[in-house]
Order: sequence, then C-alpha cells, then structure tokens
Amino acid sequence: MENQTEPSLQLPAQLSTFAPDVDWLFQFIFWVSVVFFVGIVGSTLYFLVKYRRRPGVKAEPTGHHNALELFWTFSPLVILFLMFYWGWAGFMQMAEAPDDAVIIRVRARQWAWGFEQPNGLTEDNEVHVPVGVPVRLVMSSTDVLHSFYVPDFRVKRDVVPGMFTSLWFQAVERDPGSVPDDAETDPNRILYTSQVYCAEYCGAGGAWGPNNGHATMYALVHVQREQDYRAFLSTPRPIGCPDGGTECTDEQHGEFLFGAKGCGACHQRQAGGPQLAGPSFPGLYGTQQALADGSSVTVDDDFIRQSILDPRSQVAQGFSPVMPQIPLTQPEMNALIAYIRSLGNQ
Amino acid sequence: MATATATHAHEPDYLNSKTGIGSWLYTVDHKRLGIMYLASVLFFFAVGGFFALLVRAELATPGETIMSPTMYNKAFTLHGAIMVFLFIIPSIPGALGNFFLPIMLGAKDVAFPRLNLLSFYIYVVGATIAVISIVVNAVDTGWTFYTPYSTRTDTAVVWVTMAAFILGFSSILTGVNFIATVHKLRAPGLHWKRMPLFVWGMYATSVIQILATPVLAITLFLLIMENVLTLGIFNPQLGGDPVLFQHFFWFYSHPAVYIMILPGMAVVNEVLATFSRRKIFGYMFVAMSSVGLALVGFLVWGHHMFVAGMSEYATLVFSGLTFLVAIPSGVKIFNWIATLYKGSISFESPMLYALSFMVLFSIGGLTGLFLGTLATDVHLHDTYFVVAHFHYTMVGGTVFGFLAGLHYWWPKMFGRMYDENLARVAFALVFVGFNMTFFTQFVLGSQGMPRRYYDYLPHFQPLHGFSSAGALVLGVGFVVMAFMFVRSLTSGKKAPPNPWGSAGYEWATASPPIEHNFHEQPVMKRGPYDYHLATDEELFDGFPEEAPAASAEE
Repeated sequence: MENQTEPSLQLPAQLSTFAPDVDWLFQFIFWVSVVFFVGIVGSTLYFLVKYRRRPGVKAEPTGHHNALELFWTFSPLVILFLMFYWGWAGFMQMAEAPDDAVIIRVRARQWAWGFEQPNGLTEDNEVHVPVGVPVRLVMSSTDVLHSFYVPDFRVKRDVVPGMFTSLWFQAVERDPGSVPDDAETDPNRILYTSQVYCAEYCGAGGAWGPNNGHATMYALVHVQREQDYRAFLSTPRPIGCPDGGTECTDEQHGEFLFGAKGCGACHQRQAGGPQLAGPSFPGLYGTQQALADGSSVTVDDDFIRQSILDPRSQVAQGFSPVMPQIPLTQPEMNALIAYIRSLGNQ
Repeated sequence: MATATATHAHEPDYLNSKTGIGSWLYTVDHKRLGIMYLASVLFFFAVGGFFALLVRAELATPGETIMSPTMYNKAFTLHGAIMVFLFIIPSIPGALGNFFLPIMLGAKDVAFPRLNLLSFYIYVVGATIAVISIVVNAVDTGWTFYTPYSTRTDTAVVWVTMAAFILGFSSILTGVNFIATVHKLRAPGLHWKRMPLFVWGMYATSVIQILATPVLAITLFLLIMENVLTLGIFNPQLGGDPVLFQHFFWFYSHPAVYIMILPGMAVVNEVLATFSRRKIFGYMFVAMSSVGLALVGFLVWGHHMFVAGMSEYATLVFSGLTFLVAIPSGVKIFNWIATLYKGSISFESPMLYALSFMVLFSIGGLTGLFLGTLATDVHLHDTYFVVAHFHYTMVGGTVFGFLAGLHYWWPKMFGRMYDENLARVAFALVFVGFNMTFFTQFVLGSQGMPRRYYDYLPHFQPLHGFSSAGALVLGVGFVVMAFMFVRSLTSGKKAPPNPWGSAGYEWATASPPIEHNFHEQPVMKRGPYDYHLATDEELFDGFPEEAPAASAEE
C-alpha cells in the first residue's frame, strides 16, 4: 500500500511500513462503526417521530421475535471476527523483528531517553535511524514505567523496569527522490524528524521545563539515508553547546549536558529555586556535605565524579538513593564537573 | 396492587415519619439510606467535577496555565479516583438501588437493613480517609496506582489505597444485601420473568461486586504491604514484578467497568419502557445480556495491557474475548430500538437522558472496537482516544443513566416535581458540553496526543482549546441542574403518585412512599411493563382524590 506521508484529520503521517496496514484497519472499523451508528441513530429518530405520543393512539403490546433476537445476537460475530483476525495479524508483524534489524539500546529514566547505537555511540533524547532498514529497539527502564511511542510509525511499547521490552519499525521516505541516489554522503543530512512521546504516566519534577516530567519526556527520531546514517555513526560527534554551536568552554559544554542528560529533573541549578529530589547545586561546591551514613565529605571534583559513577556509594544526608547511573564519556564527565564547580561559586 | 387510597392518605411519608438528626443517622430504612447515599455521591460528583474543570483549565493553553505540573498530576488523579471510587461505583446502586430495589420487589426493606446501614458508614469512613489523603499529601499516581511509581512517590499512596480498600467492603456488603433481597423478598406473583429490568441489572452488578472487589482489596493490601514493609511484590528493585500489579489491578477494575455501566443500562430500561408505554422488547435477552456482560467482563482485563510487555499469545486470547463484550452490548441497543417501535413516545427530561444514553453509549461501544483490535490499539493505547472512549461509556453511559434515573424518580423520592423547562435547558447544556469536550478528544488521540500530559505540542492547541470550552459548557449545565433540583425541593409542585403514567411497581406507592412502602403486601398480577394489562387507575398520572369518576370506583 502507498504511504500517505502527510497527516490527515484523523491520523498522523504514515512514515513506517506498518502504518498503511494499521490505518486501513482503522478505516475499516471506522466505516463499520459509521454504518452501525447511522443505522442506530437513524432508526431511533424515525421511531421517535413516527411513534410520538398522540391523543387516542395507544402503544401496541410488545411481542417477541426469537429469530430476530438470534440474528442480531450472532450476526455481528462475523464482522467482529474480521477485526479480531486482522488486528492480530498486524500485531504479530509488529512483534517479530527481522533478523537483520539494526539493534539500538534504549534506556528510559525519569524523564529522558538515552539511546546507544550498535557501535556504542550514545545520544540523548534524539536518535538517528536509517530509512528502508528494519530497526529494533531493545528497551529498559532504570526507575518507573515509561512507554516508547512514535505516532508516525504507529508503534508503542511500555518500557518496564526489571525486564527488556522491544519493538521494531522500518521508516519509509517522506519525499522519495528529494535526495538523488548519487548525492554525496553527508552525516548531517536528515530526511525528516519524527516525534517520540512517553505514553505511560511517569510523574513530574518540581520545576517545569524540557525533560522535566511525563509531559515533556520527548525525544526525536532523525531519519537518514542508510549511507548517511553509517557515516553519522563513524563521524566523531562535535561537542554540544548551549547555543547550538560546537565551540565552547568546558563549563558551557557541561551546562548543555546538564539539560540533555536530564540532571535538572532532580538537581536545582537556579539559586533560590525550589528544592528538588536531589541536592541543589548553587553554592554547593567546596562545602562540607553530611552523608547518609553519618560521615561527611568535602564536595570536590572527586566526590562529584564518584557520585556520578556510582550514585549509591555516597548518598547525601536527607536524600533517597534514587539517582540512576548515567553513562558518560571522559570529556563529558570533565565538562559536567566543571559546570557544577562553576555553579558552586554563585 | 395496593395504592395510596383515601383511607391511608394521612399516614406520614418516610421523610416525616420520624424527626431529628438521630432518626437519620441510625436509620435502617432503605429509602433514607438511599437519600444519604444520594447526598454523598452528589457531593463527591461536585468535587470530582471541580478537579475535572481544573484539569481542562490547565490544558486550555500550552505551557503553564494555572498550576504547576505536580499540582496538575494531583488534580487528574483526584478527579479519576474520586469519580470512580466515591461517585460512579456507589451512585446508582447506593442511591437509586437502595431506594427502589425493595419497592420494585414489593418488599418493606432490603434483606439485611442493619447491614445496609453498616455499608453506608463504611463508605463514609472510606470517603473520610480519602479526604484525609488529600490534606496529608494528595496522590499523583493516576487512579490506577501503577507500580513502581506508586511505591516511589512520596505522596499519600497508603492513605488513598486504604480508602479504596475500605470502600470495597461497602460495595461488597451492598452486593450481598441486594442478592439476598432479590432471592428472598420478592412479592407474591413476582417471579423471575416478571422482575423489573432495573432489578436484573442490580442483581448482575451485585454478583460482580462480590466476586471482583475482594481482588482489589488483596491488590491494594499487597501495595500497602510493599509501601510499609518494603516487601518485594511489585517493585523490581526488590525482586517484584510491576506487570503483576497491572494484572491484579485490572482483574478487579475491568469487571468494575461493568459494576459502573450495568446500573446505567438498568435505569435506561425502566425509563424507555415508561416513556414509550411499552414492555422492553426481548425482555429475557436484555436480562440475560446483563448477566452475560457480568461474566464476560471477568475475562477481558488483559486488554488494558496489550503494549505492557505481556506475551503475544496472552494478547491474542484477551483480544478475542474482548470482542465478545460487543455482543451483549449490541443486544441491549437493538432491543431498546425495537422497544420504541409502535410505542407511544413522549419526551420528558428522563427520556431525553435515556435516549442520549443510547446514542452516547453506542459511540463509546463502537470506539471500543478500535481498542480491542490489536494492531490499532498499539497506536491508540494511552492516548486521548482512550480517554474519550471511557468518558463516552462512563459519562455518556453511566452518568447519563444516573441522571435519567434521578429525574425519573425524583418526584417519587421527594414528592415534588421540578421545572421541566429548566431541566431541558440543563440537559441541552450537558449534552452539547459533553460532546464538545470528549468528541474532540477522539481526534486528539488518533492524531497521537498521549494522555496524562500537563503540556502539549503547539499543533494540538485548537482541539485542546475547544475541548476545554466544552468542559465549561458542561459545568454550566450541571450548575443549572443543581439550581433546578434545589428549587424543586424548596418550592416544587407536589408530585402525584405516578407522574409519568408508568406501569412500574414502584409507582403504585405514594410520592414520597410511606415508611413501610406499601400499606399491605402487594401481589403482582402482571409484569412491570404490561401496559396492555394495567388498568386506567394504575396508569393515572394525577392524585387519587382527583381521579376521574369512571376509574375511581373500587
């Protein structure tokens, strides 16, 4: 079936191989429902007008008609069976990923998505995928339930702590031919971007902003030509900076990471802002911090590094040991420490 | 059948037979308990509605509108939990069922009047604990209390689950009472095939309440144990399984959907028969479809979990069973339409609500097909499509059924008529407001808007704004309705015993009924819908003392 690559009034754009089949079934059920609904409302209205109460006209006693009863009890089963069967067939397609699928690890946490490409490259709240190639996501959660949902692909799967769940899709081109087949490989070329939502309620942080609650646990899927995607995987990534640039100091890189990794969900960085689930950072660096076990440490680079690498090892007094382990590269670690240090001087 | 004849005209009704606050607090009269339930559920309906308006106000525009995300999460949780546990589940059985089930059976009271009083006070205790939980630290888990979020949040989960745990016992005791009443206290001549369909519906509801509610109690108890004693049952960090909680929870909460909808259907049967002056078509099929829904309802809980990480074969079985629910639901709709055929139909406000029930419940049922179908459910699950679907069944179905019953039986319960014109204005506002609010959400959901979102992307703004405007219209409609009912109590015209000219048994008593319902034991000589067998005197819709000479001779 042809993919309808623009959203309709009812449904989003069809950007995966599943979408046309799912939508066909949706339309089938829709029109069956319309026929039944018009029949129900039409006959009701007709009877209401025809048999409205009039002087001198009495209601006729109700008879019974077993054949009619049996007809409308059992005949809908035929249509229901079709819906059930086609729904099941479509679902099984979604359940079985092809063996040659590109496997991407997804780690969900309150309230951010971490992606790990097959070669170990990690991305935060965005993921690059190839077009026309099956992609399988193997998903886990470090805290509560989440659900990975891409409307354009018609896929959704809960992400459950304590187990792996998985889904797969194959993205299709949005404007076939917009990039000529012989166009030069470009790791930065993106055909289109689709929205990822969290569909299972997972709470909210005290502050409001991107990746700070269920409603903003967004991510983006960037769809690329396969050769562009391969090039993207093997190109060293420029560091992220708050202004979208690629050149900045360690502190600025750290500020960018603080947002991208979702640290702000639990750690306050605004002086005077409300207390969140973890220690607030303004003025923290260099002070003495009491720990849950009664001892105390100086908040220095080593302590911060240890707290990121093994969050449960030195929990600050008055806080719950809920911080997830978030994998960082060495430069990222340095940048984050530099940023937290700079907040300490405020 | 006994009617309020002139010789008994001065016997006080149940409202005036005893006076003083104690006569209400310690009453075992099923009618007074019905009124006390009615006042309580209407209070919580107003509270739940207030939270709904807060939610819609926040969603009127994107970004922070009137409250913080944490407040929003509490608001939608309280809306859901209050509406489900404190309003819908006890609404029709507790208020209308308590009042009318014994009268319809020709009985003096329920089988265990003191158990009935206990059940009401258990409800009060549960409701009080729920209110305390709001003061302590209102929960933000959603009314489903999904683990492990509910074991990690620092809000008052233990308080509110304790409240739901206690409320469950109220529900069970009411169920036991109704079943015993139906089996043991039917008047002479009232055999099973003559039983009013409202009673059949209450009977099926009671069966589910007794069988399903203990599972909720066990589930919530385990949740409390996990929270208090850190037992690893549902929390994976302690070796538990979060999906197990969902199985437990929906094993109760899906049958609970039928605890909520069957009473609505039960009321609609009575109203449709009365206002079309005709027996419900296919009486036994309609009665058995309630029992059928009660049974099939136990086997479909897994359809809440198609994308939760359950095995593919489990989804196959649950999807197939789910489609079976469509059969008894369809049977009811088709039989109701056939009831209208060759009837004598009038359009007072109870009938308007009952007819709306048919239309709105059809939409609710048909949109359920999209969700029972596996491939389409994957896209629609946990979106506004689901929100719209269950509001069409729970509000368009149960609440409209409750309102149909409230308008229908109001003159019998309080002995006063209400302003029919004002009632129709309120109906129009509620009907239009409801559809504006929730039809929009079908489109939002199929376009991919997930539920329980504090914020949304800009392209959803027009539909969200329209939905919020609809909620305002709906709210105004309920305010008009409240005004109308209060005015009826203070200055309504006195109601005759049978204002709608119904052949139903409950209309043979005075309005309001006397304390023991009937002066002497009624003997049922015809069915409650046998208009062709009812005498003119029985269907007379004025006061007995004004009865025309022709039918007044005894």
